[in-house]
Amino acid sequence: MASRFSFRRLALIAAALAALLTSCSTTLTLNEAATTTRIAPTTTEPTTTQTPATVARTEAPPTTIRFSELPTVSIDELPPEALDTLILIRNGGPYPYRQDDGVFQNREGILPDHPRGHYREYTIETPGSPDRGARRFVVGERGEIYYTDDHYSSFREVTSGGDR
Amino acid sequence: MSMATNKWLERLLAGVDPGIYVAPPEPDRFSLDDAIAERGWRCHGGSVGSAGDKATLLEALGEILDAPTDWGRNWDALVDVARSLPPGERTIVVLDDVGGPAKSCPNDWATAVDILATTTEEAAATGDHLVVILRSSDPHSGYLAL
Repeated sequence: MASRFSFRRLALIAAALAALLTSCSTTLTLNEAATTTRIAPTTTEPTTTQTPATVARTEAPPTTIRFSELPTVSIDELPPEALDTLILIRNGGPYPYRQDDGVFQNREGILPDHPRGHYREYTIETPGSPDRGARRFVVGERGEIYYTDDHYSSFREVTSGGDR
Repeated sequence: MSMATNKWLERLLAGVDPGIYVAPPEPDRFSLDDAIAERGWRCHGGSVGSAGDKATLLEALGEILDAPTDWGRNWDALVDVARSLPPGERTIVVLDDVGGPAKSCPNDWATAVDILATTTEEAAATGDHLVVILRSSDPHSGYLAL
């Protein structure tokens, strides 16, 4: 399935993924995230535990940008196949399944509400599974990443750690 | 098989646009499956008549659509299952006794039908051909009658 992300959306997601992938065991600081992902003003602002100004002044412990109130999972805690999928997303494919890069409709409303098309979903391989398995990433157009391992019954927001 | 039944089935077998249609409950499923199989098309069918709430409706739809045993049994999982129907061929999904969930859990039924409708549109956009037929002896408005 051809990618339908706009350049800006791709840039946001690529930056967020690059930050995650390069910091697997290094905390993504708020300043780094704000610089690399250039979060644009939106109706639902990401939540943080400190403002950028506070971080800059006090050199407080690093925080992670949050887009939801959902439980979190550190990228370090994800299965190894998840990193393969993140790299594919960062590169814009090619994806192994035709369903990948499809619009996630958020029918259950577990993720924060956004117009349809905000979220896209990607399969994470499950070794030994006869089918695509139950593990997915759902990626929002601002670079927010959610992980499910129970076929969309529950989600955790992916962080680089440090805010758990 | 009545003349009216012959006509809707003939229209289906002659080829209809992707989408959702309503049809009468005749002929029986086995005859319908045979007729569709003779065209070389894939058919998924079954009754949703006993579904009385979201959980039982999802269970019935998952079984009809050949969902994996460990599928999520939620609306987003139903989207995934419907999208995972085999591509590249004409696929007919026949849901029998749709009057049951339409009356007992109308909101859940509307969500399920909307998911299937969206899936037919997505499939058409990628060149696949998915037709969903809702069969009931009761009138079912909102979709084209075959």
